[in-house]
Amino acid sequence: MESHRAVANVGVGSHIRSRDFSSRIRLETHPVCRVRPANLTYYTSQVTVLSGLLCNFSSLAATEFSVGGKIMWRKPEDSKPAAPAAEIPAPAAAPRVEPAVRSVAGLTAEVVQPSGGIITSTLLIKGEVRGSDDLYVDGEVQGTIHLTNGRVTVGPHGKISADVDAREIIVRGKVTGALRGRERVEIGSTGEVRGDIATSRIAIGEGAQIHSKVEIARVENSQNNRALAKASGGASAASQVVAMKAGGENGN
Amino acid sequence: MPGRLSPPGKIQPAKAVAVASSGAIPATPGAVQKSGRQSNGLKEFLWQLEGIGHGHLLDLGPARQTTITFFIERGYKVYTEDLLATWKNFLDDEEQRARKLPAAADRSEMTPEARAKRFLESTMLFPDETFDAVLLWDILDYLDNDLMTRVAARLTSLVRDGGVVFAIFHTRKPVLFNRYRVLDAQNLELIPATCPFEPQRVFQNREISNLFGRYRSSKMFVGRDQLREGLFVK
Repeated sequence: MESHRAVANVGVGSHIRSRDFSSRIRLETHPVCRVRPANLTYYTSQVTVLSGLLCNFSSLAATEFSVGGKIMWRKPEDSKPAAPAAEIPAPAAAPRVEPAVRSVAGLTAEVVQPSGGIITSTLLIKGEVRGSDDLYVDGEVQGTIHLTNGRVTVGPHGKISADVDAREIIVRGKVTGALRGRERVEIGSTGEVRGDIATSRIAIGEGAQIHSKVEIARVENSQNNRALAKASGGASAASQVVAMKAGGENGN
Repeated sequence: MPGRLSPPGKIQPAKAVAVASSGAIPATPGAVQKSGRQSNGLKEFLWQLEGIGHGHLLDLGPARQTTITFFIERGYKVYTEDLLATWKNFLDDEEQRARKLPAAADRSEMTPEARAKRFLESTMLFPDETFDAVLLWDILDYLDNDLMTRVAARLTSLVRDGGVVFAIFHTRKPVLFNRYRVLDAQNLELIPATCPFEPQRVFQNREISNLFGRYRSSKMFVGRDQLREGLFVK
């Protein structure tokens, strides 16, 4: 079970989600700010911090929470804030609030707070990036990226000049290099890819720019063949492709 | 493999299922009114591909989920290169370069012929005889003469013997610019879009024949919607 305890480090827009729906997220509000609910609250599955309040001691506390998209409570408007007016951008004063949090407004929810690493827009990495967790790239990477079981997400400002090998690859920025997504590759409407794409499923958003060879791996083993033959009503399992709708394109 | 031109059955002229009336559809993606188009050229193209089996297909239009998935499901490796967008980006870069050149600089590299040559030195870089099938759409109508002849020649070298090119030509100067998407085995979808270029010409039949002169055989389908679909088998 993942636990997210550092409320003080959670900035506006942060979306904390547990992959295990049976787990709970523990969210603490800072006692000095006197926000509700009580200092320690449990939420199930997912919480979004909708607004923040800059406190004197340069940490944040949330004044609104949503759980699963529904606003659970909101700080009453007649209460005096314990801090100066919130026109100061809250994340600027928060230590270790990743810039990626602010840049996530337009992204799909599942990539807002990756469990793995974040390469922010100010970073340039040259070399080999290896790991097993998810990786969110909003900066620049030159070299290779290899994640044994993770997802690589290239943010709108991300620029990768590298071959990428991961379980899942989502591109909303620019990639020059071969993409190998063992399960899935998604090219968003702002994505641009120059390099071969090999995967078992691909989703292409309206406006995506692809200058590549696209290759879909065929399903070889008998178990998958049976499952796919059943799903497709007897169509050839060897060429089964699940096309996922992405971006705003209709009819896909 | 010898080219196969005539599928069994009677050939019907291509007709549009729904035609976008000129002036009613803005050529901007923001207000898209797509229309479907029954395509005999596509049917013939797919029939040709059946004879080829699995292979490599080059799509020179923008990447479309349905088009790519359609051909991948038929066992093709799909290569996609949006030629018009790439050419536009190239010209934008060239313009910026030209602005930075001093007035007295040598501009022989900036002629249309030189630009076309340089463009193809960085685009469509595939080994000869890589492709079994090419989706050319109506791209040739929008390229200047220098680039158009070079692209046609490059395609000829990229297509294997027995390979087939599917192209669309306008019979009159088009009012709207459309992108195309394969809906199914018999229908294309026309998606109005903003074109980075003006249409350069309306091809005469003889000009098309000369352009694809090295191909073994060709067939044209003329539609009522001012589109000609051409199939060329190398």
